Amino acid sequence: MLTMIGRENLPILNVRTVLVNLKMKSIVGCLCALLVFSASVKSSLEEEIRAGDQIAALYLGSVSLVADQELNEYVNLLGRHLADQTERTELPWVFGVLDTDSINAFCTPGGKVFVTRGLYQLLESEDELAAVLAHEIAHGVRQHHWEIVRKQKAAAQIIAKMQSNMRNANELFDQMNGIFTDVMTKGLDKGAEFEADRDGAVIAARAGYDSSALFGVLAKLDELKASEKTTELLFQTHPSPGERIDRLSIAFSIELEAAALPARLGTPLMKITAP
Amino acid sequence: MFRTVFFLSGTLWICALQAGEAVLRSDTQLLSAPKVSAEGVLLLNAGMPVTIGARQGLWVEVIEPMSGWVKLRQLKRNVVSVKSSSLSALQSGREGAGNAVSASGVRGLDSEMIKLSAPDHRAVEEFKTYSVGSIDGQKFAAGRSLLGREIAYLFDPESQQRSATRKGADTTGAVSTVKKAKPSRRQKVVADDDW
Repeated sequence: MLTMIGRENLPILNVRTVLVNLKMKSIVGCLCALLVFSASVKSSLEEEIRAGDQIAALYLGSVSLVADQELNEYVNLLGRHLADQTERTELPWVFGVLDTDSINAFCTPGGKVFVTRGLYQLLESEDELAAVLAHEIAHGVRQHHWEIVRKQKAAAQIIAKMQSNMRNANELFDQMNGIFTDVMTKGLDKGAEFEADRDGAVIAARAGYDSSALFGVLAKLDELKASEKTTELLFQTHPSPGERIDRLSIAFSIELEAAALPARLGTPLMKITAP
Repeated sequence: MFRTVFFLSGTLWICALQAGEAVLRSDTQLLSAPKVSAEGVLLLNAGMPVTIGARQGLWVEVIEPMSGWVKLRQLKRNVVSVKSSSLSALQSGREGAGNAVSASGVRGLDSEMIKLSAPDHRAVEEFKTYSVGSIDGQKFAAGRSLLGREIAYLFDPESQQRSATRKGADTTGAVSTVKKAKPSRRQKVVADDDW
């Protein structure tokens, strides 16, 4: 780079060489930054999926899937078609029907969606099932549950660091389990549920289903008593069906209204045959 | 005398409110059919309680005070009632809701059960084997002649903000909110074009 010239022995910078070197360094720097960013994004996605695995393990530790392979395959085909209408098609979406009379549906971080047998049996059409699954998919797309887990996990790690006498691994694990069960039993804020209702109606309509089917589901839920064993967790974790109907009805756009179908054109729902 | 009349009117109103199953959000024209172009039957005032019947898409049949139709968005659920049967007819207008589950002998999933459960990771691995790919989803949709649509996410009426497509920097994937319409297939015919 430096050229010794003449009797003065003063170095002269080769400008072209300097510029080329700077350009190379900035390119390399950008590539490194991109790699680090991609790695952090990928690791965050992996974290999200792992958290979802943990939560799913708690659900499946409580109740098993309905022993009906055809039913679970059907729900996965429908669910996959719905999930493909969203911005998070890269998630390993998987869907299942939990063998419980409780009436509810859940989505874990990372795209694991459950609907209970109790809720499934209330539904009258595939459009209504699509509405339920689409609502849960919307939670996964918006990362509602993952945001809570992530924030609480960060807080738990800070606490673990501060309490140096903690046996970090086991106690952090216990805390994480507590965070997961909290998310499962306390639910989200109302805003997140209303958002999932709005987004879910759109997702179902994009997939070709009746955009108004969720109203039918909510009307059924509205008939149920909150004090029943089957509905306890549902009403604990969601706003009242009436409020959800009110909020969703005024949010509907003209194009979403155009996607509402008469009931007689709804697609029949596969029945559960397993005992 | 005036006080008595006023009290009785108020009582009747309250009774009507309790008997009615929804109230009107604003002054609303009751229509003869579930379409925008239908003939007006009666002007219903804001706050008036109505008894509702079947739902057709985003339209709801009004039974009392007079038979007709209004848009679902024009109704507000009567929050006074403890157990509301008012919305039962919003289900579909078709026959019954299906099996209501009795509380006795129920296989329930509640908070306590979740908190006490031990995670079953083996079951999760089995569960994951049900996952299918997009190709399978597309075949499923094709088999049902489902017509894809381009529809944008909705605004939140409270904040008047459209939901952000993605939240947080730690997300990946496309950010497009609208999917391209799939090639058209047999389209379901809607008899009433004024939903």
